[in-house]
Amino acid sequence: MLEARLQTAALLKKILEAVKELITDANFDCSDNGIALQAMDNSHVALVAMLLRQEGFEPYRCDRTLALGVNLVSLSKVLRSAGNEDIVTLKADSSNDTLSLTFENPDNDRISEYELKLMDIDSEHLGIPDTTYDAVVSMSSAEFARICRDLQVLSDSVQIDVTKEGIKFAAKGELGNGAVTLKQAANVDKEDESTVIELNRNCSLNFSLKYLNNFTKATPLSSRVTLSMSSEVPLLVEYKMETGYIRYYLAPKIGDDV
Amino acid sequence: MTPDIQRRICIAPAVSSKIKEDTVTLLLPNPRSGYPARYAIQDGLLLEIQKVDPEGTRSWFIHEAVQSDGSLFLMTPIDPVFMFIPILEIMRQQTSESQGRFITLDSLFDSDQYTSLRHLAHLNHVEKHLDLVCEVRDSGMKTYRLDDDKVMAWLKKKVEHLVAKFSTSTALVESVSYTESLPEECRQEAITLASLRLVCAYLNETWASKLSADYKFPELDKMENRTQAPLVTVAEFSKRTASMELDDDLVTAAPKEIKKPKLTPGQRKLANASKAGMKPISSFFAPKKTE
Repeated sequence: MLEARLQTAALLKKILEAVKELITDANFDCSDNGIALQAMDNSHVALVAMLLRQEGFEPYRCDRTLALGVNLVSLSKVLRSAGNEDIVTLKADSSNDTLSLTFENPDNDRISEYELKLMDIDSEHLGIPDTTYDAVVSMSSAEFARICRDLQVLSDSVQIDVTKEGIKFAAKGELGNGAVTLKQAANVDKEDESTVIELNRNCSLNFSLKYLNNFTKATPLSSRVTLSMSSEVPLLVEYKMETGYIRYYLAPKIGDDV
Repeated sequence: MTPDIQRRICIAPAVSSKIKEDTVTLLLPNPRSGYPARYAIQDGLLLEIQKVDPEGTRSWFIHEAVQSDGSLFLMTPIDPVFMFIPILEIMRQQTSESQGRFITLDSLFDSDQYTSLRHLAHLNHVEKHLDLVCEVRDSGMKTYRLDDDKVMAWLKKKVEHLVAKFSTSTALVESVSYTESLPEECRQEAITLASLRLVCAYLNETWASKLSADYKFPELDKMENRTQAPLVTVAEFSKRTASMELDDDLVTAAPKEIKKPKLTPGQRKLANASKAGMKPISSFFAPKKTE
């Protein structure tokens, strides 16, 4: 039995926007910790891990773990009928194969109730080890989204170089080359826009820009994004929320045919 | 033959160059089952059509082209009297009190259900054929009524005829090969039985049992373990005729669609993304064992 009440529907809407372009169906794993989701994209080169901790709900009740198999497109369609400020209550039962959603408008007395059919999804959970990355870059999420968008016109892949001076995104393509460098600067006035680098070793890696652009769908969730890199391991792109996170992992492009 | 029309491979009697009329194919009630089946009229001759259906496992080469439908059609002459018997039987409307009515040639083949029946009136020597099994009254206009005795006599003659010609058909001779080592009486009875069965294959059950009742096979009955070539049952027959009917509409079961999950625009973009040099994520993160 799950009962979770979320103060604003906007959060859930943004989360759905952030994952539905990457994965089709996924299990929402509900436990007493909160609601988690882990899934690979269709090509199995990227992974998304989402967690909404139980502190984010008021109240939150989940007496036993529950995997709710959801088609994300269907869920986002249902969420479209909720106002951004609506209070959302999620309810599910292990005996039922539906997820019930209630949207309450706090200003007037409108209450809408939806039931979404659940599905059985076989999903393999991957164990993600705690890694000490060579480079961890914290930067403005809007800036990251802009760089990915801008470089996309040049190439399908981007080379990311991190040194103690800064982080450089470079793309080479048929029509030309382009590069954006962000210098490390602790901008005290605009903390949100500063670029902060924690570096153990310099690193240089190639990634698919189409995937990175896909990850930037999570930009509305957080003003900051963290890129964590080590050579020959997946890039971690993390958007932190007040009571949870969305983490994307992307396999680097390795070899000559980059 | 235009390319739009599906070609068929057909074995049929040679069409003499004199006749102008095309071969007409008709849908008529099969005399045994009453279900609709395909027949043809060519040069005033009634032909029955048999379809050998390889059920999609064969195709034909026709000159330079390939035709996917590998079925073979056989058109063979059939005595129209077999067709007339069930029609006449229905039309005379016999009851326990009355012997039934006489009807004219035109009204005999007038049916709403089988409009093709009217073609039968134009077969060669149709009146002579009707004379064989009907009581005929001629008062300026000929009228016909089925005569049971005449039918029985005609059917028996058919059987006799088959027995006489039995040895000319290899297929028929093979069907009684089980009697080869048996005495001659036994063999004769087997031949008669096989002929009777052949005739019965064109009769409805009432007539078939009536005809069979007139034949006795004492020698064969003595053999306990005689092997019988089973008659085609009505159920099988209707299945066969049904498949003949379907071939015109080419009703084929739609193959089950493979359900593909719908992709959102973002997912489609990713599907097209180059993954050169990218290893699957599971090669970095090992699957967790489920407790």
